[in-house]
This record gives sequence, structure tokens and C-alpha cells, in this order.
Amino acid sequence: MSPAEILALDATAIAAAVRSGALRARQAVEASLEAIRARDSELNCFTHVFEAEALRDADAIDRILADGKEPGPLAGVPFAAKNLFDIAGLTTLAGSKILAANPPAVRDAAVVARLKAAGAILVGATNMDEFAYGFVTENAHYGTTRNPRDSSRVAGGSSGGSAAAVAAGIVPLALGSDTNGSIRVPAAFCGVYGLKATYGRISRAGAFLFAASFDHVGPFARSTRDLALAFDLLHGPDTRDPVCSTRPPELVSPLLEKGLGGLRVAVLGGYFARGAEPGVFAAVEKAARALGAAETVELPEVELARAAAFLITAVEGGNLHLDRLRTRAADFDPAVVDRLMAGALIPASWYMHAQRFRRIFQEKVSRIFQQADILIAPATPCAAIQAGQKTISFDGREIPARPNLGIFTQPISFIGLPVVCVPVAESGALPLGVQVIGAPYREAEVLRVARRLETLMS
Amino acid sequence: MDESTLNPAWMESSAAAIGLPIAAERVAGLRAHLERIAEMAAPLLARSIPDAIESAQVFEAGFAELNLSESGVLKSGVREP
Repeated sequence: MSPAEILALDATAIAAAVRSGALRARQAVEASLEAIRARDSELNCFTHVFEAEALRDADAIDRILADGKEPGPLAGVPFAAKNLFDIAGLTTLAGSKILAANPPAVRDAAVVARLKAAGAILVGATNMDEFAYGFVTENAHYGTTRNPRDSSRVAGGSSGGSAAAVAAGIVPLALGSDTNGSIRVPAAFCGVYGLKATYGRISRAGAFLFAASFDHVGPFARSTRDLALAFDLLHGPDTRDPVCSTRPPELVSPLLEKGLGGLRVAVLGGYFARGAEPGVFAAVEKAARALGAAETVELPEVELARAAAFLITAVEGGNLHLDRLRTRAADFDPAVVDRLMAGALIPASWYMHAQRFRRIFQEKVSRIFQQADILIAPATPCAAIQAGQKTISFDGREIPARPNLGIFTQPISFIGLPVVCVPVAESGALPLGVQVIGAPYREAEVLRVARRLETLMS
Repeated sequence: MDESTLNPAWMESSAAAIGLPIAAERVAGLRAHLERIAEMAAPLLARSIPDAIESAQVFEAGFAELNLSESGVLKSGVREP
């Protein structure tokens, strides 16, 4: 199998080839490392590459197979992890210069450890917006991650390095985090699949948090079956994460091909049907048509939900970094420091009001899920913007790009709903993403619909 | 939104209260962010919230456990305000 053929495979296919003996884990990892050498000077996905360690781990998988032992469901699959995840032996940067002086992590983050335990091989740590506060991955310290579909454009953020590495075919699987859209925005911009599971479903232990009320972690992939497999391996209780659900794991891969099977799919209207480029709504319509979703529903008070998410994020981020803001303000990314400082100054009563409103919004949205099982919405208000672009324009309004790329993702993560971002694009055009949203803990339904959409779109 | 919220003196005194020095070259940018936040927050803060609604100590995403009602009456009849 040639390196190009290997890189074209998804994680499930690589693991199957390795397990069957058609491919050695070392070949898979060498192909990935070669792709990093060939493309990363242009794309800037990676802040650290584990060349020697990855080859060593690949050889270990090949030895396990040669010994007739079980190598795991992701045997030999190269993967990457956003550089806010602890990786034993490497300092956790979270996109910052300030943390670079910290000692190396002593153990892997829970999600990194779970993928490694399944036989996957970590090839690198990926670039991100500093402290995950952004939607563009234009990092003053580590540079801009470019979009593999058009390198004059950003990859989206904050998990831009991970999304771009998957979109470029460098790795079939990567880990990111999503506080207000940081998996879904880069997935949409790069044209890959991204999963933000229910809040608390996947352990955040060993991840450098941003706004703990909303922080999620999850995978990027080039197929829904890879997302499903990754979810099966990643979710489940973990006492190291205080918000991690104690619900027992529920495997979704065996259910992936069940199709719509009576699920009621509706399109989100109102707030989600205005304030974006026309192509965004065309993508939603295309997905809705494919799924036979004729009904439109509206989330109540969604503008307030977005405002509350914005406030809570600013306050929790500002509080988390307050000591560093006091002593090292000049060492932050200029694009981030003022926003964190502003968050530190927001009155406590505003924050509590926003947190209490969160419960109201949660209750109101629960009623929407009595009418529909799955909701469809755009992921971003536009396709990937140009690197350095400061504003976006539609409906005759020009608004700042950075805070507004998440207008459609923020209200959804505000109450922790599970979402798959599915790439939908016209031929030759830049990719756009559609959010497939479910009720809490209904990852199986969300992934089933995403799988159906994948089939219908391909 | 009270104008005093965006007053530079308010910003400086609030920063001083939490021991946050603000360099002179940062004042304009910080003020712009606070103005934007205040603008976004205004309709949210104007929205009344019943006394019985409390924030989640540890947020649980599930709907099944919800027993709140915005009317202030807990649906499962645990208590009324």
C-alpha cells in the first residue's frame, strides 16, 4: 500500500488493514510523519511532532500482532491531540507562551490515554488559539494554522490544528476541545466531521480548561464511523473529571447503520435562519431535504442564551487566568488578553444571572425535544475566512469576525447538547458545516442521522 | 445599562479591587470589550428570573432530571417559592 493510499483511509480502515496484516503500523505512522514533513511548513498544524516515539509505539503494535495478541480497535492508527491536552513528557502549552516554562506533564490526559490504550499512535500536538479563546487559530506565538482547502484562509478554531491535520489527510483522527464551538467551527471550515458529545460525557481530565461550565472534549474524523468508534472508546465515567457523568457507557457503533428509523428531524428556524451568508442556509436546506426534514422549530430566547454563554465564558476565562493577567499580561496573545481582562471585571451578579438563565433555557429547550428528536442548524455564519480578516459582513452589517463565528454553536453548547458537525458543500466550493443536534445523552441518534447524511451526500 | 458601568473610573477602581494592573496602552481595548459585553448583557440582565431558579452547582445536561418551572413551582412538587 502506497503512502497516498494509506493517507486516504479513515481510522477504521487503517485499523482493519493493520489487524489483518495488510498494513504494518509502522507503515501507517511513517506515512503520517512523511505527510507532516511535506505539508506542515505550509499548514502549521503541529506545535510538536513525536517522530521517534510514534515509530517506537508503531513497532510495539506490530510486535503485539506478530505475537498473536490483541492490539486494540485502533491498532496502528496515527492521531493528533490539541496542545491543551496533557501528554506525558511534554509541556502542555494550551497555545500560550506563558505555560511553555512549566514542567512536562507527568501523565496523559484521559482521552489521549484512552486512544493509546486502543492501539492508536500519537504523532503530534496541534496548534490552537491561545487558551482556546478564539475561532480562528491565528496564534501570536505559534502562527496561523492554514486551511487545507485554501491556504489563504484560516482553519477555524480554537482546535484548528487538529481539524486541519485531519482535513489534510495527515492523520485520520484528532482530538480537540469545544467550549463554544471550538470543534464545530474548525470542522465546518475544514470540511471534516467533528463530535461534541453531551457535556460531561467524555472526560476532560488532563485537559487545560478554559470555561469549565462549557468545556467539552471530542474527536475530529473524516467519517462518521470513525467518530462513532472514537466516542465508544472515549466516553464513560472518570473520577478525575468532577463533571464527568457517571452514566454507564452506551456504544453507538453497533447502531450507526440503523438509519433515521422513525426519528423526527426538524430544522432550527428564527435565530438560526438569519445573520449568515446565503450559502450557509443553502447547505442547511440541502441537508434538510436529504433527511426529509420538513418541519421548522424555534428555540426560545436563543439570543439571550448566546449572550449568557458569552458572559459566562468571559468571566470563567478571566478568573482562571487572573494571576497570570496580574503578572504576565504582556506575554499573552494580544488577541486574547483584553478579552480575558474584561472577563475578570464583569460583575458577579451578571455572571449569576447568566448561570440561572441557563437553567431556564435548558427547560425550554427540553420542550422542543418533545416535538423533534434531532435538530438541524448551520455551524458557522460563513465559510472559512481569510487569514487576518477582522470582520465579516452579511445583511448589510459588518461585524467583528472573531467573536461572531460561533453565533450558531454557542447557544447549543450553552446547555451541553450533543452535536455532530457534518460537512456539506457544493462541488468546488469551500466546505460548510451543518450541526446535527440531539437531546442530552442521545449521541447514538445524532450519529445515526449524521451517518445517514454522510451516505446521502456522498 | 448604567453608564457608570463603562466609566473609565469604574473600570480602574474595579481592576484595583481585584489587584489587576491595566497598562495605559490597554485601556482603550479593554474599554471596547467591556462596552461590547455590556451591550450583549443588557437584554439578558433585563430578563427577570424567578427566585426559585438556581444555577447548577455541577451542570447536568440531562432533561429527565429537570423539575424546574419558570413559574417558580417545581414540577415534582418539592417546594414552592
